[in-house]
Amino acid sequence: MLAQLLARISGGLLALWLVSLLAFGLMALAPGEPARLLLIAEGVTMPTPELVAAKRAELRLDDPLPARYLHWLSGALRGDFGACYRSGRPVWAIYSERFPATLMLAGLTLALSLAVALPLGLIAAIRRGSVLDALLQALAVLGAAAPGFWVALILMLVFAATLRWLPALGSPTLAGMLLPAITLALPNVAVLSRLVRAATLDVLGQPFMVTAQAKGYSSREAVWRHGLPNVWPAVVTAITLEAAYLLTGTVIIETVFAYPGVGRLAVDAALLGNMPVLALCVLMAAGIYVLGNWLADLLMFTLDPRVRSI
Amino acid sequence: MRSLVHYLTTLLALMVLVACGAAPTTTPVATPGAQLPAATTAPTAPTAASRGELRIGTGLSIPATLDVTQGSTGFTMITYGAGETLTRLTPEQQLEPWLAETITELDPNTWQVTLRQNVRFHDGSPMTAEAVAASLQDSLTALPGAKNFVPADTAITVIDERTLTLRTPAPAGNLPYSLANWNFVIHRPAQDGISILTGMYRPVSLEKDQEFVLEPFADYWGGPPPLARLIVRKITDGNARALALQSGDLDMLTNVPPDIAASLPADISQTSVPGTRLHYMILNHTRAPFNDVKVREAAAWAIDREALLAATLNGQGSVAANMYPPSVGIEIVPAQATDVEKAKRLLDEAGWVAGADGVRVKDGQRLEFTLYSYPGRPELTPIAIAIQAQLGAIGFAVKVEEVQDITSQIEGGEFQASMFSVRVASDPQYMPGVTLVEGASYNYGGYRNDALEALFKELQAASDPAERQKLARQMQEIVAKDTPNIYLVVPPLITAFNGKVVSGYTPHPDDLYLVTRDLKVTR
Repeated sequence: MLAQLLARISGGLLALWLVSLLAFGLMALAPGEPARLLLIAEGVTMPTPELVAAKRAELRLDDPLPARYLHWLSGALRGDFGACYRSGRPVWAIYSERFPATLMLAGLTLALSLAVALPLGLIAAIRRGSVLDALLQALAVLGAAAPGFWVALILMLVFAATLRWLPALGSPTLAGMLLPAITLALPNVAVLSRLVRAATLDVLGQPFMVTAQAKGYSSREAVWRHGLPNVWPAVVTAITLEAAYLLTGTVIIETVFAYPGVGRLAVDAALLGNMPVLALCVLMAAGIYVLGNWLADLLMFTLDPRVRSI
Repeated sequence: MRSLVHYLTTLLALMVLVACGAAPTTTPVATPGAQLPAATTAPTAPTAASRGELRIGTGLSIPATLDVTQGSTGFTMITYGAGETLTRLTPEQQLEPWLAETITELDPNTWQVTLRQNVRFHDGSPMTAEAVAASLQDSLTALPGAKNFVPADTAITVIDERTLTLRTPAPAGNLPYSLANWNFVIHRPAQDGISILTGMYRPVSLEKDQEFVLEPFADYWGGPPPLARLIVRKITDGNARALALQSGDLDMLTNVPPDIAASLPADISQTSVPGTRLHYMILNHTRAPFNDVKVREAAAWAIDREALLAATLNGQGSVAANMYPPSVGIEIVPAQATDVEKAKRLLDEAGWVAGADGVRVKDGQRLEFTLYSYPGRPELTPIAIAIQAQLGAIGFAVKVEEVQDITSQIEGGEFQASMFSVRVASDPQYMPGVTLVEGASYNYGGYRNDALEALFKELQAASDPAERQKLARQMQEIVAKDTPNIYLVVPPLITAFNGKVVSGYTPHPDDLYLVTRDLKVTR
């Protein structure tokens, strides 16, 4: 068991290291002279060749690539990811300003997803084969298949432009987060409700459920007291990974709703060639995923006695 | 389930794009040209206090800084009523004084500027000749585009509190026009990254790539402005912008693409005027097939510009018949129109005969070329594809190729023809000066014409507007005979707004003077 955990942890660290290599490699290959861009961002309007040369030396841009990578990595490990090419500010500060908005949106999305997917999945399992079940399955397929940007525009058209109930543009307020959160929750609900349904069906067929019903529990009580605790482990991994996905900033949805999160930050940085910001977004995304995976493992370990016995 | 792999692939793909230099480039804009203004405002007695908040949505970048000595911040500042120049252009493209009261020619090399009285900067300090001289010098030093308009070694001398002179190394008849360019926004050095300007709205905050907020400047020389607040939001997605206008999140949209404008409901007000941007085809004069004037002419006659407008811009905007757009107040000499029969005749005369596959041949050479395009302006590539079909009908074989960075593709002269787009100033000197004379910034096709060079020298020295117009006509006659490039269309400038809330908007060929004194909201 311990060996397995160690393998997981080292695997995650390896993934992070590989991503850091990629991020740095692309930053080093990007066109443009970082020293000149940074000088301009710091307010030097027409940097002289001497100034650029001095800045290059300061940033160690003339060192061989491996040395530059180590320098960048040691800075990154201390939380220094360099300065933004457009404002000259530390990119970590820029990222951490945007992260709360993404965090709030992810939280609301997950809450909405669970609130809808759990009951849907349970009902579908208990009423297996009914019209309701078929309908829910069809909805799930639709929800998973509809492209996010299209759903976003349709929701805007209906709830903002036509009914005027909600703002069309996203903002980190409850009203401003509802449309983006619904857009993001739809495919989630589709996936999660199928998962809950499958796990519940699995549990319903287990001998202990038959025993529970033989003891005189109604089927609803049986599901509630014995079934549900056994459904959780299956759902937990899915939710954790979904949370990780949402926390990396949902690039397309944040862009469509003009929502000020880290996903839009990454897109804007990419469009403007602002490499330090983009590199940090990539690194953070990888880090969040690795953490999410570890967390999922840990939760499985605590929730599911069968995993512990391995 | 979406995975780390999927997500990272997306982000890394973006990074690769950037790393390969394929970041979307902005259109090569001839430094946005001379500009247009709102109605003249005589200083009025302070009226009702500023009321209401105007929220504008744009797809254009909001600058990263509010310092006008950086990038194109000056352009943004004039657009939203924060910055002003010494002169400006009316919606009819007539030059008028703005922060200057008069500009007089003392001799061919010297202009005297007398400043408007009672103008204050946003920090309360008066606008003196000293401050204006420092501002102009700062623009010339800090902004690389400024010297396209005013020579870098112009001597600026303060005469007294309200008067200064500008002495240029050579005669510069277009100086009053040049001072209307956004590079010359009158400013004092920035404090906390915000330039100190003179306009009716004062910038108060900027959230990078998201939101730009301005508030009224109480000591404005024209009296208190009508809006209590002005908010500019950047929304990348065009459909989302349109929906935000319909939902009431925004009151106004600038630079609306024609297809989105067409989808807006009837209760949204729209104005559409031909802009000052010109889409055209740069021809390379140093290689086949366009080193032959007959082939250039034939191609120009074969293109149906009305059809290009209908197919790519929803029929809006206007066709271009010569090197100036019809909107910049210069009398046009019609040169390039559509006459397919004439085009065929020209090719026959030049000895190009139709081959078996319909492509014309001469001395074993096929009549073929590659037409480059780029995604900076969404309609350029569709126009290129339409041209491919139109020229194909008279025996050309055209290959359309879209590249990310058009400038690096064509600046070495390694091309036959390329789509291009320039924002044209309303000064007759601008267009030939940046696209046709030898050594011009955008003369990528190596064009040279002695008669045109001579006329251009005359134009540089002429200060009388009538004389300048006459020389502009003569230059256009050379363009008509020689077909240096093929001029195509002028895209529309569409503004959409909520007419129940917004009043006093005057459409303008140039988007530079969007926010004027008359723009109000009622809520």
